[in-house]
Amino acid sequence: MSDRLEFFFDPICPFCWVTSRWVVEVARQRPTEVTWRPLSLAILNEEISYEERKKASPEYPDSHVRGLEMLRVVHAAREAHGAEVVGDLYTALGELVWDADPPEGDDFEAVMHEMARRRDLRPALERVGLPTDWPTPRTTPPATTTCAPRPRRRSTAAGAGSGRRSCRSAHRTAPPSSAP
Amino acid sequence: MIDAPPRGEDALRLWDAVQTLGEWGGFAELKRTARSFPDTPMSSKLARTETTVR
Repeated sequence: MSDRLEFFFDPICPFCWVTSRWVVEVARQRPTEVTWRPLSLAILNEEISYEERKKASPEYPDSHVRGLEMLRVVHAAREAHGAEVVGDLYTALGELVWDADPPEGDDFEAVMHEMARRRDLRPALERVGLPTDWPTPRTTPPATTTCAPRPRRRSTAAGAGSGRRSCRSAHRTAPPSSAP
Repeated sequence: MIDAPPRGEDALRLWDAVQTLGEWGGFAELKRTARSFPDTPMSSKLARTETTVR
């Protein structure tokens, strides 16, 4: 009998990443049925002020937006190709971030800067055999970006606004209907 | 939270421990301060430096 597990992940979270590699290592050795579930830190933390985090690093909020962008790609892949592609795509996206060479500096700021950096996600899609001609965070047209980075940054700077509210409801109502 | 993925037999040991706690009817919570920033190739210069508390 295999163990069943739901694993909620945001590709930009380093704790998620190392924990997920443990789960993959267990699944390699034992029958384990993992359901990989996207969970955006940017949306999860929406009600929590980023002010304290910004003291640790001003790029903290941007790093979470990078995670959200990657999860939008994950969501699109799941919609188009089914839930079975999610685990491998998470691996490929996570490796883009976490298996990269370390940045110049050796402090939290340097790592956060690397986490917040925009990167080409197409190599991850190619790695798992998915098409790369979808809208990616670099090229996504406004029509598909209800919760795009720019409105979020505006709302973070200005406090809660109506834009943020509609963004949240759009995201919180959409995923469950498409969940496996 | 863990700071690095355990491999091989260690991965299974930790799995069994977590599963035991998770399935233990009366078990509620356990908390310990983070040990280190997660140790990955990208974060290798930061992990287990001043962030280490163990």
